[in-house]
Parts: sequence; C-alpha cells; structure tokens
Amino acid sequence: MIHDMWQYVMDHREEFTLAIREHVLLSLVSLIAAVLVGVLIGILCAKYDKLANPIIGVFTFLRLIPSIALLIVFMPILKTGFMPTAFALTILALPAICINTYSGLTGVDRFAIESATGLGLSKRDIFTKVEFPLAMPLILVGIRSAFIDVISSATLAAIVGGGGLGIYIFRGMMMNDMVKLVLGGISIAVIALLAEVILSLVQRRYSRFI
Amino acid sequence: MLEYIGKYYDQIFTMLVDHCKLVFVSILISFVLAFALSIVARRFKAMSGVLLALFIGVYCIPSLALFAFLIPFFGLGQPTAILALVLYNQVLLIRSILAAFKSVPSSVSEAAKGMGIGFLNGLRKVELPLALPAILGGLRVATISTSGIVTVAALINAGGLGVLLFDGIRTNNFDKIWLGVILVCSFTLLLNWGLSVLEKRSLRIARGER
Repeated sequence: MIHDMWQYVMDHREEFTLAIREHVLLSLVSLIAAVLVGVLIGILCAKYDKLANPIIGVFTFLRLIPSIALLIVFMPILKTGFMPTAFALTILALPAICINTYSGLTGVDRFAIESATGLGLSKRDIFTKVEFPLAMPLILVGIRSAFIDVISSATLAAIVGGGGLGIYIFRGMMMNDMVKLVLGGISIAVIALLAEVILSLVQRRYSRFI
Repeated sequence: MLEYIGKYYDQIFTMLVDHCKLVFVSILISFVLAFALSIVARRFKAMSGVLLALFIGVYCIPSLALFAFLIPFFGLGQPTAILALVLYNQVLLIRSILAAFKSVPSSVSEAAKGMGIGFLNGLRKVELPLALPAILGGLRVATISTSGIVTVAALINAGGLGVLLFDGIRTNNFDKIWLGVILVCSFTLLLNWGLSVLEKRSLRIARGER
C-alpha cells in the first residue's frame, strides 16, 4: 500500500504538488482574511457596546451551522472556483476568531487597565501594550480552532470546485481506488497536524503573560 | 421547493430519520465510552495526558480524511461513519467531563467521603449532580459537531440529510440544495436549543435552587 502510494506520487508529481499548493493556499488565504476581518470586528465590538450584542449574536448563530452547509450555501450565489470557496471559508473562520477576540478583550482585568492609566499611558498605548497582549492567548485559541476548521473544510472544497487535496479522496471514493483515497487522507491529515503543532507553539509563546 | 417536498416527502422523511438516528447512536456510544475513559483517567492521572493527546490528534484530522483511513478497513456505510464520529467526540467529551469533575469543590467531595459514602454512591449522589451542567455543555458542543459531520458522512453512503446537499450539487438542483441547507441548519439549531434548556435546568439543580 505504502509502496503503491509512493509510486503514484512519483508518477504524478506535478499534479500532486499542485493539489497540495492549492489546499495550503486556499486555507492560508481564507485564514488570513478571516484573521484581519475577525480581529477588527472583535475589537470594534469590544470598544462599542452597542455593536457587540447583535454582531456576537449573529456569529454565535453562524458557528452552529455545519461547515458543509455554509460552504454549499454560497455556491449558487458565487458560483464555483477558488475565490468563492476562499470567501466561504473566510466566513466559516470568522465566528471563532471574532468571538474570541471580543471575549479576550472584554475579559482583560480592569485593574491592569487602571494601573496603566495611573502610570500615564495614553489610550492607544493601553490598547497596544496592555489590553491586546493580555487578550492574545484567547485570540490565538480562536485562530487555531478556525484554522483546523478551514483546513478540514478545504477538503470539502473539492466538491464545490475549489480544488485541493480533497480531489484525491473524492476520486478514490468514486473509483474505489484505495491508493488515492488513503493518499489524500494522509496528506490532509499531515497538513492539519502540522498546522496544529505550529499554532500551538505560537500560542505557548504568547501565553507567557498569563 | 414546495413542489419538491410534496413529491418526495417520504424520502425526505427517511433522510431526516436516518440523520437523527446517526446523531443519536454516535452520541450515545461516544458518551458512554468517554465517561468510562474519564473515570479511568481520573483514577490514573498519567493516563489522562496520553488519552487527551491521542484524541486531540484524531480531532485535528479532517472528517473526510478520517473517513478515507477507515474505508479500507470498514468499507462504506453507517458503521464507518459512527466509528469516526465516536473517535471525534472523545476529546470534546473527555475534556468537558474531566473539567466538570474538577470543578466540584474538593471540600464537598471530601465531606461526602468523610460521611462514609462509597466511591460509586459519591459519584452518583454528590459529584455527578454538581458536575452535570458542565458535562451537558460538552455534550451540546459534541452533538452540534456530530450533526455537522453526519451531513458530510452522506458522502460515504451513510444516508442522512447530507444526501440532499450532495445530490443537489451533482444534479445542479438548487431546490434540493436549499432544502438540504435549511433542514440541516434547523435540525442543528433545534438540538442546540433543546440541550441548552437541559443545561440551564441542571445548573439550577446544581445551585440548589430546586
């Protein structure tokens, strides 16, 4: 089995590297977009109380919706391909990041902010040097769970024409070809575990304040 | 879409029943297994680290990839789907069960022990009622993720509401896609609502308000 898979990869080297590249690119683009937008919305919600209730409510609701449903809902509207899939994956990753940013920032100890004010820090410095670093661990937890979610849903993207390694799984399943099936499974699992390890190392680094 | 429902309501009903059955059976097995493993992990502390690390690894593997590993051994169909779901739920459930028991004040469990209550009785009459809200919280998260993955499991011939989604994509039938999305989402939201009601009630009991 392992020999067969190796043989297959060697025979289809270009196709295989393309699939990996597509998968990683799709996940990274979606995650980065979601981090930028999600953290921003999270900050806005934490700063403006009026925004918080409706926005966090919508995201809590979005979080309950199965990722495959979310991925498919956008298909009739945005058609298939790379960008529509990336957009759907971004929406998928937003709730976890936004909610964690919000709860990270609102959960900062009031005394820490008060002592910073007492030390004469400007509002901006308080945010960048006190509040944000203290909220960082929780934000990273959100990013981590969002990334895992994005990588797994990027597998499903193959079905809506987004490409990636999911193609091997679908082809393997349809043609009853165990080599392709397991090859796809292993590659995706390795990428997901690698992402998890890297992000947990980053998270450990930023948790030193807590 | 109404036309579609009128025509195929019996098939849609079968899918709904299949979906419920899959979610219910997997959650039941997952919970029994997780509870047993948690009790073992609580008695032998070294076990809990190993168990959690193992299941965190499993949890990071995308559902389709995990299905891909299991298909060569167990074939297509419901048993494979249930096995994958049970594996996924372990980390969510064990973590919440362990945290729930840890949240029981040691003064309470020690007082019970001092009054001569046995291990099992102490578990049933003292620790379990106090830990129940947190356990139900974990159960809710696991149930929602299960409902999402059951949808994907339609790809490996496990049936359920996912069939509507994937058939709809294959035949470009948007009525089917929308119906599938609406049913999957409302099913998941309904489960979430039902379990949160139970969670709140158990919290009242744990606080001694009833």
